[in-house]
Amino acid sequence: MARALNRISSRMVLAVMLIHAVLLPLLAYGMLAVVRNVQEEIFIDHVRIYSRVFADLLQSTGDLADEKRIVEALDNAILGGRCVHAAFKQGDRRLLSSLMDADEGEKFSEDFSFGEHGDNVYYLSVPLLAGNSMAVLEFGFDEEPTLLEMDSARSTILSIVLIYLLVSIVLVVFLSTVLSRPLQRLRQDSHKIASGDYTRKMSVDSNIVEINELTKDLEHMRSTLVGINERLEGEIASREEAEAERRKAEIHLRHMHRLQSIGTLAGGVAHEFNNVLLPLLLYTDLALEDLPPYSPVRPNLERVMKLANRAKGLSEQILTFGRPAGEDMHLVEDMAPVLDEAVSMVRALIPANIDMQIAIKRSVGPVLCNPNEVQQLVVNLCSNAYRSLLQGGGGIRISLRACTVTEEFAAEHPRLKAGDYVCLTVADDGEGMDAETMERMFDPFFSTREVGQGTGLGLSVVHGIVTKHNGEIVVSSEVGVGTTVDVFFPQSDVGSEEGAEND
Amino acid sequence: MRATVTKFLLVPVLMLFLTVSRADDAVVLVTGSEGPLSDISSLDTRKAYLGIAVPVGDNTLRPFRRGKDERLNLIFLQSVIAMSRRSYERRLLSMMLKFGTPRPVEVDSHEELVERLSKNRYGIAYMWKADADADARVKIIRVLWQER
Repeated sequence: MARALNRISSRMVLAVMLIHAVLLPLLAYGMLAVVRNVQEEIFIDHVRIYSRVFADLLQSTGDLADEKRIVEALDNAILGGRCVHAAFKQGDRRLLSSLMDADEGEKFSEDFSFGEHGDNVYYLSVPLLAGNSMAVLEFGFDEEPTLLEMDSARSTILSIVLIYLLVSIVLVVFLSTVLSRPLQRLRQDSHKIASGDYTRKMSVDSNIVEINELTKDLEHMRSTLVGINERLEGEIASREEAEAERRKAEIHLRHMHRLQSIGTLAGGVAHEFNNVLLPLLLYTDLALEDLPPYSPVRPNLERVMKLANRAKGLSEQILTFGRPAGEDMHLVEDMAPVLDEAVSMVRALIPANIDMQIAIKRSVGPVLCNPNEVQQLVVNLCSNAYRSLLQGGGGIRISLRACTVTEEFAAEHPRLKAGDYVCLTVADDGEGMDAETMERMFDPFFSTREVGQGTGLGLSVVHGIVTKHNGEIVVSSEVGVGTTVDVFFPQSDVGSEEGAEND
Repeated sequence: MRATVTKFLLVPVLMLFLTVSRADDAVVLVTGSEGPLSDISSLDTRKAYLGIAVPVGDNTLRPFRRGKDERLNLIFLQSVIAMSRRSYERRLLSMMLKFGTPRPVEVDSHEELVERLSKNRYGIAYMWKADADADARVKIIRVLWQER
């Protein structure tokens, strides 16, 4: 209720009604007074002049001793219209109109204003000379028609006032609606903006200058706030993104440090292990040379030799993982032949029922690398792919192509820089890896295979080789779908510079 | 508006006045006791008070009236002038604009009125008959109105 009363339209209607409640009665009263005064004045003027003229005519046109003539004149006065009382008085002589009762003649009581005495008859006397003495004509005029006219005028005035009041209220309601509609629209817009719809523009078409200016100001304020809000949201998003990237880089760095530490440790152990193995192999080999061909000891020494060689292979793998970059690296103009050789080795190792799709492009760009290690990398990756296919079958896809790393992609992989790379991809349709496995897949000696089925050094060696080549390895895997390993080797500038010099 | 209010206030006063007025009240036309005027018709009286010059020999009637006596003026307007107050005022104004005649001189008191009549030999005025009878400086020309 209070909310309805506080609306502009309600306030305006109430204000107009209040003003009208005060002013309209005064206006009506004033108009009625004017009408009444005019009517009274017209009435009094008429009856006075009528009486005066009548008296003058009566006095000037005949003998006032002739009673019959006087009574006829009095009768004519009454027959003339609104005169209801006509009498002639001279001393004790009193003549009444024959159209009057004798009692009515006694009712004379002179009036000097309209409505006096409340008898609805305006009595007045007019002196005239009758011979040498004074006579008086008495008249009474009916006030009723004038009163009826006043009543009619009052009804008309009150009707006009009432119509005016109603029309005013209707107009005020209409005007208040015209005025309040754009304000309500502004309120709805501002409510929606306050609810979070910042894109909603405040546009109200109104003929009222103040409302238009208010709308413009509010729209300016909204657009400013929206701009500030968008900037803040953008800053928050970029900070969150930067924070996420920082965390990712931190995790990657930690992982790299861990792998580096493990590589250093493993390399140290492998080196010491080699120091033990080399004399063992040397002396075993010398012992075998000195033994006769059919010595019963020879098979045992040959087993020792074989196991020592196997141990040597393991230590070499460990050393490959932990070996620093720059050793045995040279510029390879075309990686395709290197890959072809690796693929042929893989084909020999993997059963023929495994579908292998090879897509090796030629002249993908010069790469500074160790071809033997690249081949080992391919063999290790294919070996892992093959192992993952043992459960459900599928195929292996090997591809080599030139690619360009964008700024965005480089931002996600800190070891990459935007530029030209050679991308080697080994993908399989195997069992895939879960997140936990992917977290530890490059750890040396980590393996998902049963004990004795693998050394857990395959991917560690791959990682070591890629790291040495300043490349990056990107693994994407989904359990039950397969794994894709992309290895990025940076294209060498040396080759292109030499080419440019040769040109 | 003011006239209405005045009238509303006036009606009770008049009614009170009428109840206390004597039955033999009369309004008379008077002139100075030394003046030459002896008889003036009701038409000339009306003319004089309506602002029309009424010649008497080489002179002109000079009308005076008392403004303060409301009842006396009401009787005068009704029985002599035969107009409403406003009509009378309008008439005087139009005559003044048309002919340049001065309106009747209005005085406040009976004493001042008699003084004026004494000084103007062709001056006329209306007053209660009782007042005229009581004052030797004026003489009655004729009765204008007689209480019934």
